[in-house]
Amino acid sequence: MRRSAMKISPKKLLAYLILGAWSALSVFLVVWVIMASLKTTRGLFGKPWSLPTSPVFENYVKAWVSNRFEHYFLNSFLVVSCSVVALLLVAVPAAYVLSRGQFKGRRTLLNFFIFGMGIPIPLLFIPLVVLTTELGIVDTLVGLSVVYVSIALPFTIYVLQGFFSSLPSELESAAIIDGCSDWQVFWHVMLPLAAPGAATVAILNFVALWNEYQISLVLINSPENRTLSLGIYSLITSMQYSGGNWPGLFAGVTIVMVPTVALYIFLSERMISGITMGGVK
Amino acid sequence: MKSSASRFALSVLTIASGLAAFSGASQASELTFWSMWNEPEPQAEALRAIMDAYTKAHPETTFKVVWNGRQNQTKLRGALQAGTKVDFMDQDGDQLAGGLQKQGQAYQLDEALGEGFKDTLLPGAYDLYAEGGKHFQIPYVYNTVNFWYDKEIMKEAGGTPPKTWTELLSLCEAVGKTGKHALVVEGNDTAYTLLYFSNLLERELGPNAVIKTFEDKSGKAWLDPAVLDSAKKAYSLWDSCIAADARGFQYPAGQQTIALGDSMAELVGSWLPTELSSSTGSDFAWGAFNFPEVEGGKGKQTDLQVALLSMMVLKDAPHPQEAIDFLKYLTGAEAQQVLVEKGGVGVTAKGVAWPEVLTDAYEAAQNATTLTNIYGGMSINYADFYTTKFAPEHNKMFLGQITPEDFVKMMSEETKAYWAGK
Amino acid sequence: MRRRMVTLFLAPAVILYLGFVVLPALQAFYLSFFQTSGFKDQEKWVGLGNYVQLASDPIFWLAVTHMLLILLVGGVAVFGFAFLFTMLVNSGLWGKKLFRALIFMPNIIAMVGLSTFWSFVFMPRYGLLTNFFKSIGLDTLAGVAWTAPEHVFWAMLVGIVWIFAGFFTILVLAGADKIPTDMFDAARIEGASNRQMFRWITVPMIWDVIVITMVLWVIEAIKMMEYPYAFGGPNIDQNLYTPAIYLFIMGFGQRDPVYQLGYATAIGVAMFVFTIVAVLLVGAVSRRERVEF
Repeated sequence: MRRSAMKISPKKLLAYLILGAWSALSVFLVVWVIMASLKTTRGLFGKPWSLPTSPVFENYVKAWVSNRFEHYFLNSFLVVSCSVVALLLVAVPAAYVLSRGQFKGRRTLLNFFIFGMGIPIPLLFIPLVVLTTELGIVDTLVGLSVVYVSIALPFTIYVLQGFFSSLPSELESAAIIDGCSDWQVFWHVMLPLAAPGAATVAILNFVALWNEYQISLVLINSPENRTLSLGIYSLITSMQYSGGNWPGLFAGVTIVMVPTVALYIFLSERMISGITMGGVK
Repeated sequence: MKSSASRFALSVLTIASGLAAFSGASQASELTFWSMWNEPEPQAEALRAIMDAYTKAHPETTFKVVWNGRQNQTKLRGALQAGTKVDFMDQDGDQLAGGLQKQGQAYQLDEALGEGFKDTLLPGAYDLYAEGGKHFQIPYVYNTVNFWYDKEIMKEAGGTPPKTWTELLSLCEAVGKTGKHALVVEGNDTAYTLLYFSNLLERELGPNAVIKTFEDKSGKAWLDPAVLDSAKKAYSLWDSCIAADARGFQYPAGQQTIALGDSMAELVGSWLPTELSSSTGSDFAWGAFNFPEVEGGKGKQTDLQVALLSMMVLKDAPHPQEAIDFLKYLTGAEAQQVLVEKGGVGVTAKGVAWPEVLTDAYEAAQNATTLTNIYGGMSINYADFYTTKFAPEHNKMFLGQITPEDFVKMMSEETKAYWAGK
Repeated sequence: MRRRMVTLFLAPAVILYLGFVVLPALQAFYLSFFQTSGFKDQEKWVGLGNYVQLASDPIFWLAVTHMLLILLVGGVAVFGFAFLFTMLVNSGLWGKKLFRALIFMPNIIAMVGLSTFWSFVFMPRYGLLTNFFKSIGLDTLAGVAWTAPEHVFWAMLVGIVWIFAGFFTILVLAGADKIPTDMFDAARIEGASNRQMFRWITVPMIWDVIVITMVLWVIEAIKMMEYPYAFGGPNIDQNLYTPAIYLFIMGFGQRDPVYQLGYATAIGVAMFVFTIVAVLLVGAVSRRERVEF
């Protein structure tokens, strides 16, 4: 008995060490970036590992005001909220029909959507610029939202239809027997059941779009329409010409990072279960 | 009054002229300006002050500015295709010349500015980016290419600004003995590293040597021993002048080393003191010297590579005339003075003194015997070859990934292929 | 279910999908047969010309090499860590949820933000890594310039592995969670070690999940753009090019105007072909017995 007890301990210790070290790196990044943002450039270059001697809060003021992060924050918030809401409005009904409907070609149509997950987004860069230009919505937040919703459809429908498929059909049949129309079945029975799946998919898309970078890089030109990721990128370019202001850059990164991390602390379980829902049936 | 008729006529005239004056004054135009500066930069502040002053003097002209940062031309191009209307923009003159100007998106200025405009600017400035005698750009900021150095470190090493290549190498050794690095480079900036090779070739073979070498359609000009020699000399800087880890510096990490007192100098444009001003503080002792001569070469130390920043009016600008009027004001003494004081840059107008920290550069600009384009000038007429082949391959040679011999051979073959495909 | 409801419910999704995903993809194919710089009056039909040029373009093949390195070397590292962490987390440790959350965390922070951190880690002379080596006396390692051309790709890959190892750990872990615990209990009674249990119970039973994650990784590796692009900054080195980045540079450029839109879309089409081939390969290679339970 004692032998097996001793045998487990060092292995478990090693496991804790490995996992602990890796996890600590995540924490370290957040902490270090915040600390770096409070230093001066000379301080950061001189002693990158140490705590800031006298915190320079004006790095934040500069990032927020003269580098317009308040503006970018608003843009990101608008685009992402509207996109997620629109995405749900479009994807939930579609996924419902694709998973529980009975019509010819249902499987094919579903696979058609899922196939979209394999289309590399860079392939679409140039045609999307041309298309949104012709529609007059290039370089606008509206155009960006429309593209976001469209590109998120394959994955979202994939996850949602998986979720819908797993719902029991007895309630549905019972409702129909009771004389409910198809619409009432959807609205009163299936939709409430779908709420957790929809919520998770919403959170996942919110995070993904909040941090989205390549599509906005291509579609957005004017500084006033920049989202937060573009804001950080523009901060990278602008800091180069202002004496290499890395602390200012890290202040911008913190502004972007802290809200998501804070949200994550509360919603991590939700997010993680949502991802696994899609990949693991 | 003589008669009621004349009274009537007079009142009509008065009213008519009053109306005319009124309608003339209400010709309000909002000029859209896309700028290469980032909003917090001092140059942007200077431009804002200038635009405010102009609006005060001409209330009917207001400005709508988009501060895009250095990728201005790229962003503007996308916007133009989307139908966005822009009046004028600015960017590095050579990039404009190889970009929007070449694509016919620029408004021709000769008619509006006339013959005499050239003489309001420093010699050679107005013509530098002209195409076949036609002018599309108004240069307003003047950058020269020099070795920018920390006077303290040079003093400590007991050195003086070198006049020849050999003197430069001995200066490097002297600085090395004090424990500092003589030169620093930005390893990943293919344009900056090109300054050494292009200047060396121009010192050996004379001004515009790089272009002339490229324009030999057989590609054989690259095999001239002077070319290989320049490449080798550039690479030899790593022996005693540049620290080995500089090959990994991603811009702007390299130039920070000067602000932090690790390195003495960098071969770069005169924008460096302004870019580093918040790291160096205002009491940094900047000095600049021109690229030294190469023994036995044709180029003189007073031949200068320059990079002018220009304003350009768009061909489809909604208010071209008003834009040009503003740009005339911008290159006038008053506005240029503001650029010097608030922006900390060298300017193109004749007779306006540059900021004190750029004194050496101003002297170089005034005493320049020939002006050539920065980085050898390939970016103007051969932009795609420059971006896809010349600059990256040279950087590989400079960082030691291919030998100078392979580099010149490759350039020779690629040049031949380029001209064959035309 | 009535036809009207079906069409009504599907219409918006189908319209958006066709209009903004499928149609642009088809347009991309079409555009790849032209040489154009975007202004309408400068279009020129070149047929397969772009593809011929692509086949002999050393920069493209450099980008493809990088893509393959990310896919294979990166993939081995990512999945190696994912399996390792799954095995460790499931070996009866305390704090499973905490570890899971922390390992996944890099995926919720913007990649462009993460890249600023990692660039600073690898900066020569002043970066975190160099300073760390200096402080423990490893001067030769401290002298290495991690962002020099010969190393910068690997420096970049470290960040990618770190981010995606977290993502795929979660997926594999979720799959492993579905395995009924009595299997493990029975095996433990028989005296199996953690590693044996992982190899002979976990892996076969979550093979489905593994295949799906491999497909996801393949798709991601082929279209990898955001992290390397941000890591390379506004003067991105060719040594960091992936096909997606090369596409962007050729189509939009950074500071130097290139604007070869037709050529850029040809690169995109090539990426699409890679994706299809790779997914089919994964499907073929993973033809194994599925264990039902």
